[in-house]
Amino acid sequence: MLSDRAKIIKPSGIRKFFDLASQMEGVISLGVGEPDFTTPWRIREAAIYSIEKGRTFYTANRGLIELRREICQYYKDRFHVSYDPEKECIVTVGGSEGIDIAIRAIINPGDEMIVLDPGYVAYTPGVELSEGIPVAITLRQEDEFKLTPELLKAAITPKTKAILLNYPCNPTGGFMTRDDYAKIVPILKESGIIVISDEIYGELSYEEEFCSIASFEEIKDQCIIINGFSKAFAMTGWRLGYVLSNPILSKAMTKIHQYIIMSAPSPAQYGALEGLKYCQEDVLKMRDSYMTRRNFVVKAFNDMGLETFKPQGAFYVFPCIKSTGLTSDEFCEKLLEDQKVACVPGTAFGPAGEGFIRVSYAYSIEELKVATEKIKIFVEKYRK
Amino acid sequence: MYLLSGEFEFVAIVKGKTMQQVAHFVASKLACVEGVTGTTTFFVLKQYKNNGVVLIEDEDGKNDRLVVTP
Repeated sequence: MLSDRAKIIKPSGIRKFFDLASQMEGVISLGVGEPDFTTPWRIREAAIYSIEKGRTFYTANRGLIELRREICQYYKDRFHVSYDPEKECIVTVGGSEGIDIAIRAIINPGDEMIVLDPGYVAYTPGVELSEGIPVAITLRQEDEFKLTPELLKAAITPKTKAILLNYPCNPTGGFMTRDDYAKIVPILKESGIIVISDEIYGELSYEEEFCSIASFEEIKDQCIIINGFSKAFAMTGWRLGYVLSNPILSKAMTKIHQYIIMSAPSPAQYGALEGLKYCQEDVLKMRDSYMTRRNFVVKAFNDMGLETFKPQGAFYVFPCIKSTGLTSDEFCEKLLEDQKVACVPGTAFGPAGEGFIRVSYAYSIEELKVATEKIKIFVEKYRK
Repeated sequence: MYLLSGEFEFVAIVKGKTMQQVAHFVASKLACVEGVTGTTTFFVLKQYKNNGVVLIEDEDGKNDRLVVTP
């Protein structure tokens, strides 16, 4: 009954853990990949107002032109990359649709696409659904899960069509500075492969300044930038993202987008427009709050003997749990049974996640205090 | 703008970026309309609730997020 494609993709490791955790009562979760803040009121009000005014029709396939103009202006002002709102921008249903249409637009059956391991759960299945071959680069803790020139060089073959990057990274919190990118840009330029860069956590960058890979003019034409409103503007449930790329790629992705989606929901687009215009202060406030929490969590894990580097972006830490002698799955299952604390096993994000857990710090300091105290008790019990 | 029962005939809800802007609108646009014999202006200082939604600054903490998400 099922297609080979539907059979080949594996169920998400997150789903399995969600089923376990949601059956228990009183679970304290550090397993959530979304902000704990509600969408800024101004955005909510603008969306409500758009419904009140009856702006309930399809928008242009690519999205409201006013919104696309604001998106392009925002990328220029914040990240120093210019795109044409008419021909180089598509408003999508979350960053997720952006990833999907980007892969579909470029991958032929048998093409290799480089993905980073550990990496976000949707990338590998996305490649498989296009009958591409995902080629994983195993990132290392000692490099703080950055992509190094050596690793990149070793992974590129004549069949490589593209690479999918995601910095700041879910799940590791890994970060690429401009200097880090400068080391890999010549390799990308020489190989000519397409770079899909999922920059959804770009606004959640801390001491280091976020760098969009498309800001390297020499490879800008090879880049497809994915971003959206979920993380920075706390708009996960609104499902609104966007894709920026050269006009040829953008036209191809628009074709796919118009058949599968038509256009992103109009109230969400009006809300996002308000957000880009007036809510930058809210974004910065939330970011500052995440940074405080990050400092607390990193210290708490290192104090309990689980080595954790200080991530420069996103809202996850990726503690190494090897010293407990447990696998990632065992650690998370036992922690849930023992202390009713939910974290996500690193293996949910690829084989290279073995020996690590993903801990989200999109929680209040009070919740983080209680949860890390419980993890400490657990670790002391199991430490070899 | 609404027609009212009670002490006042009409209520008009005016939005402005500053109190000054609102005051200017009342003085130069509203008060001079023929038939308007007087105006009383009430400024909103802080909004606590809107259509049943509680608007407090620190509303993080309680929400209906799922237990585990990607």
